[in-house]
Parts: sequence; C-alpha cells; structure tokens
Amino acid sequence: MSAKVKADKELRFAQGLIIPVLEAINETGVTSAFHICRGNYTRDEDALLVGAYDKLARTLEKFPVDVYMLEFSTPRAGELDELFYNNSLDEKIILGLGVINPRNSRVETVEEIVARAEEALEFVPPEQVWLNPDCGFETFSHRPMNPYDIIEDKLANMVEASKILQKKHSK
Amino acid sequence: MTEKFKPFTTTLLGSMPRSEELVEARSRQFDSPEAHDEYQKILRDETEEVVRFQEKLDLDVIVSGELDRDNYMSYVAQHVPGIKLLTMEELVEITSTKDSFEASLAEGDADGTDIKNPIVVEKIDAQAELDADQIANVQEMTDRRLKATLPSPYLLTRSCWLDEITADVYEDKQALGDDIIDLLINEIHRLADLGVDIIQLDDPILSEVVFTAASEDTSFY
Repeated sequence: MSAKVKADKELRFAQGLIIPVLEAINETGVTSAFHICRGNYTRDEDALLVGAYDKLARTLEKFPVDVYMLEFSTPRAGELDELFYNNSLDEKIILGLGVINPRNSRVETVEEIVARAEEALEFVPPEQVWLNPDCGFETFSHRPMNPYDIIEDKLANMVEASKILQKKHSK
Repeated sequence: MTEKFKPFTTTLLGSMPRSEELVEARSRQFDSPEAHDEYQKILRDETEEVVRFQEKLDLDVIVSGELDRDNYMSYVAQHVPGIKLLTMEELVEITSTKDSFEASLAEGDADGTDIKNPIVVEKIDAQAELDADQIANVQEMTDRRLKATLPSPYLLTRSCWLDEITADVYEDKQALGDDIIDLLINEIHRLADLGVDIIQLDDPILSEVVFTAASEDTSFY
C-alpha cells in the first residue's frame, strides 16, 4: 500500500472517531477546542516532528470545532498562510495561536508576540484570534519543560501583548 | 462562532509542572488511607497554587494544571477498568518489534524508563469517570472561566491498542473506538453539567499521520 493511501485511510478513521466527540461537546453548548501538536517531550527541536498545517487543513476543515489551539512559535510548524491556504478555515474557526514555546527558556518579547498575532490578523479578524503557548509546560509527569519563574515571565508577556492588541484592534 | 470570549483571549494548553513532593505522594497514594489523604491534600494545595498563578498573571481562561495526571493520556488507566498501564519493558517483552521500537525511542529522545503506556486488556467500562472531579475542585477555587482537557478519541484508540492483547478483546480498532467515544461523551456530559466553558481535545498523533513516513509502524506515541 502506498504511504499516501495509508495516510488517507488513517485520517478517515481518525475523523470517524473525532467528529462524534466534537459534536457531543457542541450539543452541550460548551465551546469546543482541538489541540494539535507535534510532540512535547524534549527540548531538542530536531527530535520533534516537522510540517506545516496545510497537509492537515482538509481534515481540519471537516471538524465541527470552535477553536483550534495550534503551535506557531517554532519554524517546525510552518507559516500561517499554509494553514489558511485554499480553504474556508478563516470563515469558521477561532485560531488559538501558539506564541510561546514551552520547551525553551528564551522569554518571547511583548513586541514579537504582538507582531505574530498581527500576522494572524491578515487572515482572520481580532475576535478569531486567541493567544496561548504551543503546548503544555509538563506534558509528561517528571519531564518539566521549564521552571515556574521562566513560565511566569513568558506568560506575563503573552498577557501584556493581549492587552495591547485589544486596545489597538478594538472596534 | 462563539461570541462570549473577547478578542485575544489568553489561556494555557493544560499541563503545568508538578512538584517532586506531589509525584512521590501520588506513587504512594494506594499504600494506606493516610497516604491517600495526604496525596489528595497535596494535590488540592498545588492545584490551588496553579489556579492562583494563572489569576495573578490575569489569564482569561483557567486550567487545572492536570497535576493528577501521569501524562495527558496514560491517566485514563487510573480511572477506567479495562485499561492497564504497561511499562516500555513490558511492552517490548510482549511485542516482537524490540529493535525498531527502541530505535524509535532513541530518535525521539525519549528514554522509556519513566513513561508508561495505557493498554486495553479487557472491554472498557465506558461509564467510568475520568477526572471531572479535578475540574469540580478548580471551580470552587476561582470565578474565572474554565477549560477542561481530554485526550482525543483517535489518540486513545490508537495508543491503547496492542495487537497481542487488545485483538483478543475487541474485534478491531473501530470497535474499541466506539467504546472510547462513549467513554469521552459520558465525561463531556459531566464536565458540561459542572458548567465548564471550554472542552479541549488533545491530539499529538494526528499530525504524525501526515508528517512522518507512513512506513514507520511503531513509534513513541
């Protein structure tokens, strides 16, 4: 079996499982979110998966979901235009934009977070952009990706960026 | 499209670091009733710290920190009859793919010693409660909006399936998947009844389908 056929079959199987569960969330009236990442168990970026979201966009379009929480703080995730290229995702989703890398100690600056969010505004309006880290800060118990003081500095900048963006882009 | 959240809403993905003390107390929690109470107290105190931490930073939507979870998916084995945690060594013993499995681990920079895998060994109890009780605790601690996280049904079905064992219990992956869907929907109803604002499904392996060579059958996740 070719790799592509195998991948398509696997994606169909995945959709068959995921869609009913998302529908169940939506039926309760609770906001539904879906988080996709490419591994969060090491600080070695080279060991983690690489690929833009365009390869998954057709699948993502089919999911009945309000918010996609996606990784965008690392070049491994590709660029925003690859997510929105040639599909209708921009009309129906809130993008939970990953602006913090949980796996390194460099504190993202307020300016760069604002700039990243404004790139997203080229594709979707302000009410369709949320800010979040790429992934959890301790996906596996005993494998913390960062100590609390670094996490605090990173998140403080994310919140400040959110407030600046709200002021700048409020209607 | 949901209108109740403001533009540029901030939230965490879910997991936060656990202290050594918590991890140790959790490993002892079933030794005695006292050990169980001690763990529950530490868990509650640290969860409250995580909540206050998020409030102090003024994050819009609060998460529990998932401190009671061993990891984002293996924790289901703590709660669901029919799912058992197996160590990497036990898995390697059962399967015959030792070489490729270890190579996959080495490539992923994940040594297997501290990670256990939830494997379906009997028909699962889809009525089992996962960790909605943790969300109920958090709800008492804050007035802010809450997000609960659940492993995606695809992640669970694929990860909990081990041919050598699970194929004796379920006809195929779809049959297991149907029960996993029921398990998650039951938990979603509990979370909705509690009044959470967002329910997030986590799926780190969907990307693997398109981003890695499909010929790699055995991998870290």
